[in-house]
Amino acid sequence: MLKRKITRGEFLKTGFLGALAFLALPLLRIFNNRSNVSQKDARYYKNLAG
Amino acid sequence: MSKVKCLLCPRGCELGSGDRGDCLARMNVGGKLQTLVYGKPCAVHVDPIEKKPLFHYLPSSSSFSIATAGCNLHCMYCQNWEISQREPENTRNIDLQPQEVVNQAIAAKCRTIAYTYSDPVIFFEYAADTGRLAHKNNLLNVWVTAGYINPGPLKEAVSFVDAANIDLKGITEKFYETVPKGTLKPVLDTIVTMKREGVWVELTNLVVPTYNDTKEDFLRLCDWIVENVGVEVPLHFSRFWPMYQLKNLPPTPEETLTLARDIAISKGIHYTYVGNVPGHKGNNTYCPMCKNIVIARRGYMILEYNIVEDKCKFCNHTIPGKWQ
Repeated sequence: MLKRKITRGEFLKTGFLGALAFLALPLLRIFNNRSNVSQKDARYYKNLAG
Repeated sequence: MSKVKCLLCPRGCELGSGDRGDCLARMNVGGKLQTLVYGKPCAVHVDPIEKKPLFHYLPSSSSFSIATAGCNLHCMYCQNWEISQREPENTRNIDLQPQEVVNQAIAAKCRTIAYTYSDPVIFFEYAADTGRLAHKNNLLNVWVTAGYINPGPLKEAVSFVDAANIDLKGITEKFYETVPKGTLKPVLDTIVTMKREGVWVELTNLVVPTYNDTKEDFLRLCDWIVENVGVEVPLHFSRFWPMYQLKNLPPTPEETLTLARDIAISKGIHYTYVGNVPGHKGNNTYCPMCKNIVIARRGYMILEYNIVEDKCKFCNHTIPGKWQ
């Protein structure tokens, strides 16, 4: 049971941080998504000059 | 960093560093072309082989079916657009190296590995390495493909592809430009080459209302088949269902598919099927000699089987295919 009231500032800060974390989730996927794909040399290509 | 030119398919994408090919599955990384989908399938299933569709190849067997994200065509009606028109970073991929594909296919008692759903052309290296391992383990390889590939890699592919269902989506360059956003001639060349090199080939034409469903379309398509690959190549006319960018169209009327099949039969094509219409007489295989049903099907299920070794049970006529 809460012994004291949450202040308006604490409430807004928690809500802001929560929203930020929620929005950051897709970014985490972007930073981590290279493990979702391979990095293997392809065949059938050529380098172009220049 | 140097640009590269991909030589896998007729698009011939020229890519600067960091650029991705039209197929979404290949990228120029530091002057080297890399495949982003090797060992990273986003679809893995065990399917009846009739689903491919292959009706003359190991009937009733199971096929271990895999696909990665990406495709080098962009068909407006693609049923698998959620993987074919997506970058591999945006699909749910699993790590499944070639040996593991083979192991799982054996464990699932499959006789074939099917490279399907999107198109094996764009995961060529993965399909090739897996295909060769499959052969070492007495498994056969099935490609379900639009055939949009260059002659060089195609020549390699026929060394490990045993059977193929190739989409002959239309018979005009205009259709190929409009609907799948490609060109027709490379596809025709692929069909001829695979047939000539001993790959078991079956063709599929998805009949799309207002795009490729006229009598003229069917006549031209059948004429090309008869003249270039012969009357014994099975031909599947498949019913379109509203999908992806063509949700505004109705499904193909059954009468249109029946007309297509009747035209094919009149042109002398021996084995013509109607797909996605359960109960249609075009689900069955008929002996071209005595006209009896040699294989009766409903959907993917075989109801009756009247082939002994490779011959019609009734009149002993040879029915082409791989039956055992």
